[in-house]
Amino acid sequence: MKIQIPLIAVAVILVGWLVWVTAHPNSTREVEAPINWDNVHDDPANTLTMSWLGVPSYSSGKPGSDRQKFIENYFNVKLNPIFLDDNAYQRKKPLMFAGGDIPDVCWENDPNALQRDVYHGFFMEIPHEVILKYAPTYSKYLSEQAPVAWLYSSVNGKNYGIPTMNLELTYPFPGVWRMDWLKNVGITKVPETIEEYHEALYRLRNNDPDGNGIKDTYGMSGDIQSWWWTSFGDVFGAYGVMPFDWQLGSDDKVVWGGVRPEAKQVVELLRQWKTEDLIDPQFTTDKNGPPNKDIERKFVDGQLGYIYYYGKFANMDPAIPNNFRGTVLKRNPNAELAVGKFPVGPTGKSGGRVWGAGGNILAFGPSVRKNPAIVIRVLKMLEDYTVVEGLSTEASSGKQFQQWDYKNPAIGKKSGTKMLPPYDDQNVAKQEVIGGFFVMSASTPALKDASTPDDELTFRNTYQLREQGIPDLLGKPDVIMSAADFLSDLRVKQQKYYAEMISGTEPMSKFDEWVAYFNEHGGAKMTADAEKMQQQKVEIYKKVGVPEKFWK
Amino acid sequence: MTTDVATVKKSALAESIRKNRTLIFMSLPFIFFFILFHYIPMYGIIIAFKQFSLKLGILDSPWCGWDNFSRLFGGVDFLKWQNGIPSGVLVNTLWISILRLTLGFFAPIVLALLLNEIRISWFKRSIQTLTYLPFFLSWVILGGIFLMVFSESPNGPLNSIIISLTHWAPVKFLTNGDLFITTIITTGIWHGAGYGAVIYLAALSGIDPTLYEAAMVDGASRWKQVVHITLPCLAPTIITLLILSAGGILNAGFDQIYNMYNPMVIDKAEIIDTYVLKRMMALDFGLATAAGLFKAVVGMAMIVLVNSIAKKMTDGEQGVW
Amino acid sequence: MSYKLSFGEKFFNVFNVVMLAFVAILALYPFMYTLSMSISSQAEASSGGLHFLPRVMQITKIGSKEDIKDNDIHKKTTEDYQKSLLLYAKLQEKYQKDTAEFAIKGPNEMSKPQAPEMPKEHHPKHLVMGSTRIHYHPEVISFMSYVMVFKNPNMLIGYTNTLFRTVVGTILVLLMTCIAAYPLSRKSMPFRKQLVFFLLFTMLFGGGLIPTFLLIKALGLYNNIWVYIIPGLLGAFNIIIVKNFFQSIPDSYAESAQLDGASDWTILFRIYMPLSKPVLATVALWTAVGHWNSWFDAMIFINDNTKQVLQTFLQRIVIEGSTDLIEKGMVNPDLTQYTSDTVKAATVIVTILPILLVYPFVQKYFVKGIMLGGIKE
Repeated sequence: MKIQIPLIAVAVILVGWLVWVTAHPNSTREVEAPINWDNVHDDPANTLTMSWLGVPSYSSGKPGSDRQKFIENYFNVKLNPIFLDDNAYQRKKPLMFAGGDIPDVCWENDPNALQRDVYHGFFMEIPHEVILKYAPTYSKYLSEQAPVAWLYSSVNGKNYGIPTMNLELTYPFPGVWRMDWLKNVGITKVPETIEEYHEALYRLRNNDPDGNGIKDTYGMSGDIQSWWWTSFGDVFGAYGVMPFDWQLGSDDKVVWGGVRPEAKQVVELLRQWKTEDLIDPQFTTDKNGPPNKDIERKFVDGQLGYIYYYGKFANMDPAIPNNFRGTVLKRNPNAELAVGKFPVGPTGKSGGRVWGAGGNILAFGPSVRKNPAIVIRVLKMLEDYTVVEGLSTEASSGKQFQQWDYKNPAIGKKSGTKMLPPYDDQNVAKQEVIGGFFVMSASTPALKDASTPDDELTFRNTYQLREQGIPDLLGKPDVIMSAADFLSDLRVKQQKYYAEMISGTEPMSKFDEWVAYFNEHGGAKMTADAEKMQQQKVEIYKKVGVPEKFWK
Repeated sequence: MTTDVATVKKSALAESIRKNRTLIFMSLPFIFFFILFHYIPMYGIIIAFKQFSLKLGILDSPWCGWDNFSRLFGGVDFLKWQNGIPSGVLVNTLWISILRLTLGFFAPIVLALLLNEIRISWFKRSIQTLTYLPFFLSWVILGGIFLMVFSESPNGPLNSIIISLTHWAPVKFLTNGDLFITTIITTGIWHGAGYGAVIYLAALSGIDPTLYEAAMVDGASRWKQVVHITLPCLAPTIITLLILSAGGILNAGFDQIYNMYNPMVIDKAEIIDTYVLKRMMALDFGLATAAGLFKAVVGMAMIVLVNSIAKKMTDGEQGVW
Repeated sequence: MSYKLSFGEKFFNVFNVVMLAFVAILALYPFMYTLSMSISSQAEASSGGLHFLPRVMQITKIGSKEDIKDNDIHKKTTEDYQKSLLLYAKLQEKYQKDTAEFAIKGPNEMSKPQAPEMPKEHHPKHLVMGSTRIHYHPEVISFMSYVMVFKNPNMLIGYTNTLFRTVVGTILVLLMTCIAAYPLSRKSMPFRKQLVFFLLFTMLFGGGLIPTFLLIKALGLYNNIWVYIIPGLLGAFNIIIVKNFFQSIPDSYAESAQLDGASDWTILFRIYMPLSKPVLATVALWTAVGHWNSWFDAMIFINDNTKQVLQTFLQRIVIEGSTDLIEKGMVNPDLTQYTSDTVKAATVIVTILPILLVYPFVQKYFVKGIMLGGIKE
């Protein structure tokens, strides 16, 4: 029987292992217990060590880069960067988190992912008060410039991270006209109202603007298959409706733009235009996303006189030879392009879709509970980047003359910046994590304008007025959790219904059928959730001190 | 009286246990192991009926009834109907699997029959050795090799030949959905035929040689011998393998597809296993478990069904159990 | 042969041999291609065509036989490259003269001169088959790709971990499988049938990926190198195969040993296991191959780079085309000596080499294993 002793030993070890495992506290459970933040103090003399999962586009970064060292010295921290590329960020990160390996500081790119991860208990709660207390300027900028960011970081009324913002996405893109064509048909300025817009489309179609004697031109086409790049976005904007976003209805309730009566009005209007043969019939099949670029190609080929969403500086900058403007001019040397205006509708509304200023979220893993001072230190970083002039630039891009310089030193800031060798090589720059791997900051349009070249600034102030940007009421249409189950299907259906009604193959009564379909197939649930989220949003706004004009 | 029998039985059992205590002791590890790694996960199936959260754990996560299943079948990925034609992950899985079962099933039989006709033993052995070599390499390796061989660049080995001979555009072996399925099936046969042939060859070597001798005396040609002796003698093996493969009707070959597919062919090549993995990576554990459970149940049902059919058709002679 | 072969049968025999030889080439070719690719230089790797060791075969369709004579440049081997350059220079001279002449005379008097083709380095010799040319040319062999592979620190990590799981895993699987199979093979074992069903059921039905993941995590095996070994210790299939073999050993062996006072342990280790060498060798080989080839568990359960196995690194390089792993091994890269494809190919070869080396010697056990697997349980 002696030989059975090892076996008994093995059995004891196995049972012991099981007991240990079951008794072993589940690390993610602890997340919920509240922390008394009043007792948490951050001594700047204390070196804090934190693992940091940053932005995936810096996956080729090297640990111990100069930028990392700079931040470590400045804030007295020790950073352990975790570099995941996009692929690993999408696929490996969730399993890594599920397995319990959650870094101290995590860059979350999407509010949906945050909601999901919070549901699984991966992140600790960071009360708004803490953010307001330790990063007051940062919070103020957020509240004034990107209030919706506060919503991105909150789940079920609690806050689970530090929101960030992106001003870049708040400037709407108007359309571009073939001004020479407009002049040919007797129009001397870009259309400003929806009537003028209609008139222009009519003449572009019927008055032979290219003068070749053939009726081969259209005013506009569309890409009905893209939900955010609808060519009719400016027309919808004239009625104050964005068909693929959450909006506030006339009764102050949240409503899906695509089922609003105003949307029906626009569809009817477009249907009318289609019967007048003012819209390229291929709008149902044309795709403008890369690599197709059907509509852009038509515009370049001289088949269209107007193209929506192309009024951005990079497209129109005369200094860049191969941009959109350059391509059009190369093809049609006599062409004259004019950036359009968002047409004003019957009730005086106008505008175009923008993604909004809400950015990503910095969330904190459960290990930070053992040392909550890390949160305070990170908040200090954000606050300092926002307040101390030049700090965020130095932390992200390095020093002037060493890593970067102004494009035109005589003009300075206004001329824009360029990287100096060897950092002008993308690969080198990314290895040195030059950019935003560690650094997030808040800004204001005024600060942003101060470093924007004059011509770009003029362009933006003339054509891309922030007031005309219509963002989603909740920041993103898919920010509500139930959207994952229904939205993609509903979008496809909506595009189909719209295409059928506009092209005239189905009667306008189909619109009610679409509304019914929407409500039956998850739309009602989504709307209810969106309403709930809107309530929460207002509450959060009140709490963090967002100016009242943003509440509705 | 009944109690007496029971007591006798009980004491007999006790006696048997006492006598065989070493044996019982020896079985404890594997019983423990199988409970731990196979039966406890079966309990985890209840995740399919829960809105699962890692924070709350299996027990405390809220129940959600058949919600995960209705999301699975009501969603746009798994099974969708367009103009009465089904498509989606389930259809892809079945289609690839059926193609494999039909086309891939005969390849090893044919190979075995051809090999069986070879009388030069070193030649036969070498061919055998070469043809089942691929089976011992993982699909990571083979996938890597095939991604190069079927490369769509004009310089890819296969495409450069095709282009120089035909002046076609490069054939999209990997990014056209239907062509990709063809590639998958072909390379799948390439991978498994040699292995499958060995099983049939073993069965063939077990055929009584006197049967052939008798047939030769009767003047039967080789073709007739194959039809009237070889194939009937192979039938039991074929049926057994068919039953075993029936359980895998929803196994479309995860390893191969995962290592060879790309976003361009997702519409045609996403199968249940890759879908489960994807849902898992999206941390949608409820839906992933539901899809996995669906697959497991169908697999088990199929194997039981085919087994009983095989038994009925052969009067209980055939069947895995 | 006791009887005369008919013509049809002779024809079939020849056809059969040719056919099977073709099948064998087909089975082997992808490996030959990979091997050839792995020792190619950049120029050859990107030249396209069917690679044969150590050459490239290109099939090019051409116009006519005259065409071939005119295009002498095409025929040059590496040594002839210099000569072909000279020829090219002459042709170029002639072309310029002709062009000037053409400009004066115009298309009516002479045909438009064609520019000579620049000779490519290492341009092939060729065979002519009808209107098709098959090029083959000896190439400069480059081992730079292998240097790149071995400079990659991940390869060493992968090799170590894979060796660990293969060796330790296989030994433990053998031991545990025998201990499990023995009681099931003994007729006196109570509940034997139920236990066999208990095992077989796991082959029919399982919990699936998610419950297994949660179990592994709960057992503390996530990101733990033992996750490679422990969950795979026992498999129903192996146990049944070994059990069946044990049952084929005559009971008298065990009985007489028992009379001599041997315990079950002694019988298992001293009698059954030595007698079962063939089946144990088979199980061991299959297990070892399985361990060598495993990648899924590493992908799902392991997060640390230092614990990954060879197949995962291979997957990242070859399937996902991740270049940063390659770049990490890069020291003074000579870009003419390799491409990302040749490095991929070299990585594949390095990974499969151990299997290819032992395969011819152990393949008979594989065959046995396949047959055991095919046998009705």
